[in-house]
Amino acid sequence: MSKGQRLGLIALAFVVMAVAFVIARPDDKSEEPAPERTARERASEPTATTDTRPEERVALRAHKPVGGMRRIVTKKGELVRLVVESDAPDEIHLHGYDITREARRSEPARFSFRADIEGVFEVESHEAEHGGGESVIARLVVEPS
Amino acid sequence: MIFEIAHGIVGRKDLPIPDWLFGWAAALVLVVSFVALALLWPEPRLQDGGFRPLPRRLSRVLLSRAVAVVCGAIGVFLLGVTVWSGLNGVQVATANFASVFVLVVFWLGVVPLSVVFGDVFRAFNPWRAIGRAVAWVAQTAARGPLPAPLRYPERLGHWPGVVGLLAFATLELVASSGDQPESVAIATLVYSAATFVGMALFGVEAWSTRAEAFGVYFNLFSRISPFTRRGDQVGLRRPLSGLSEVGSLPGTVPLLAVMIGSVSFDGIGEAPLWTGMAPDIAGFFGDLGLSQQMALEAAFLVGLLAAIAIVLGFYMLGVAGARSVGGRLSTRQIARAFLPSMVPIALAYVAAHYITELLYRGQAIVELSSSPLGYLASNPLGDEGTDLFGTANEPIDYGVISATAAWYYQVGFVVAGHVAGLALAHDKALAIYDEARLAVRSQYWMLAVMVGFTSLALWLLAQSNG
Amino acid sequence: MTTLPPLAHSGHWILDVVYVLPFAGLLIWLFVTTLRERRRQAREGGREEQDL
Repeated sequence: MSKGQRLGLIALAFVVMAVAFVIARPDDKSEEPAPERTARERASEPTATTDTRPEERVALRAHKPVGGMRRIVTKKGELVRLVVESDAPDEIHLHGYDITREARRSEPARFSFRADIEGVFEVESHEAEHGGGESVIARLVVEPS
Repeated sequence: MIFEIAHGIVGRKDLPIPDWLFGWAAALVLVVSFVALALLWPEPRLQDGGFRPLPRRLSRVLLSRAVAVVCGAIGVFLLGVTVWSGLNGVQVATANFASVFVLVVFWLGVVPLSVVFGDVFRAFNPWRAIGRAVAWVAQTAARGPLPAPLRYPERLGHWPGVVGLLAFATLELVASSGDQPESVAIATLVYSAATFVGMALFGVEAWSTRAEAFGVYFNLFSRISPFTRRGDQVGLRRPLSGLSEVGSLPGTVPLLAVMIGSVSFDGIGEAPLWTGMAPDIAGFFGDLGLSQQMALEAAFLVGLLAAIAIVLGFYMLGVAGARSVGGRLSTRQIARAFLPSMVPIALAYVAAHYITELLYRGQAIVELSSSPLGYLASNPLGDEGTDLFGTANEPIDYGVISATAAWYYQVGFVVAGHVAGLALAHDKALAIYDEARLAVRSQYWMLAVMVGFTSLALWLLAQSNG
Repeated sequence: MTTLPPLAHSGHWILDVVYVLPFAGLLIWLFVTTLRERRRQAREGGREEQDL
């Protein structure tokens, strides 16, 4: 390789790096940073109080719940926390309370609500619904307090 | 992978053209590269990359026994922490050293290190280190010479590595709780045991260089690096030239198929194409009597094997095409000859697919190094656990790379890897075909295969947007 | 009558096909040129035999 070619390649490398630097600067205008979570927060269970319960975790593979449909039983007035992880982008809908959250690999769907209404409510996967077949991933049962 | 992985990332991409147009642009770059190669690269250059030794003192230090012992000790220590934290720590995949270290920092992080610095894993390989230590102890303790190990059968080649990587992919992608710390710890123990058996039978070096899955895996990537070792000297050779001997051992073709296929399967897991099929396949297994969870795992195993088979078939299609242009080479010879070009492609797939995971999830290792067991939820006093280095509460900085930047890097990796593959194939063709005319015509087929892999890679990357 | 399922996040399946087009195009071109080459060789082979 001649000296000129070598210099040319080095210059090209610099140009590429400069372009990469310009592109790679985090763009804070168009994106909302995700809340920063430490390992402790992810692993932690809440300190025991009368109206909170440990969060329920449901993992979805191909929009189907691992371990089968989850049954969540709670008393009226309790704070319910549900985390739905999914290996494919999905929309999770809680009937009755009418809450919808998105789930993707990088960020699971998080539900946090007070169980004010008594009854049995289905948690459904939007994509599974469109695929036909079983789409209920969990059933929330709110008993009288 | 149920792991809370950062594949796609926070925020949407802000792109001037649609995703698929990037795919077309990439294909165009490959075609232009092909033409450039045909016109400007008339002689093989990468078959023998030369060797320029580094200063003697540096070689002596790098290859010294002291360095080997220290590196080996570090590897063994990390293996120990992995097993210990996996069995004793909190069972949340994102908050335990075992899962984060093995599935992210180790599996993904050593790849770029190998590509840049050469086969560094060889020094840190815990199994090799333990094997050598045991051999040294045995040697010192024995009065006479030790019995020689069995000769490593030629036919066995890289096949044990294929099995090992397939097992790892199964843990990562098929098993429902594969990413759980306990699963990782147990898998590590089982793999260690199997490796020690192999080393006992065939010798530490023979097993480490040919059969130990992770050693073989990282060694492949390390051949891209200019840094290499010849005898007792460390030196430089032309980048990529180290790949020229890839393919000489049996089982290397399936090895690369497993590598590319498993990354592809991970990517397609997010696509409606797969999520629509998986329940049907699971239903088939459910009808056979499997539980719902096992049926789904069986479906995912079918998917993984299918992805590997498709990648293999795709490559063999190119090989068959190259054979059809003439010459006196058999299919097997051609398949092995062009295998070096698959390594940069495998690298492109790994780099593009996992860059965000490494940059995000990998950050967790900072806090986990201070607190490998994670938060000890079982402790009623709410003890904070350990904080060895003071970093136990370092949050993950999601701002380290934007969605848009990540996409550009991913496209860049894909294009660069496939162009490198094209160059390697072209170079090899010049070396093995007697007539230049046949060499170039064989490359039309390789070009088609590369464009195919490029399109597949970008399509997979676009699936995580949903 | 078939209606398009309103997939919440994914685009139309035709987008997936668009990804494959460059590869398909190349393959078609390859097949065509290979066939043309074979036909030309057959013709030239035939002509040589006639000269003899």
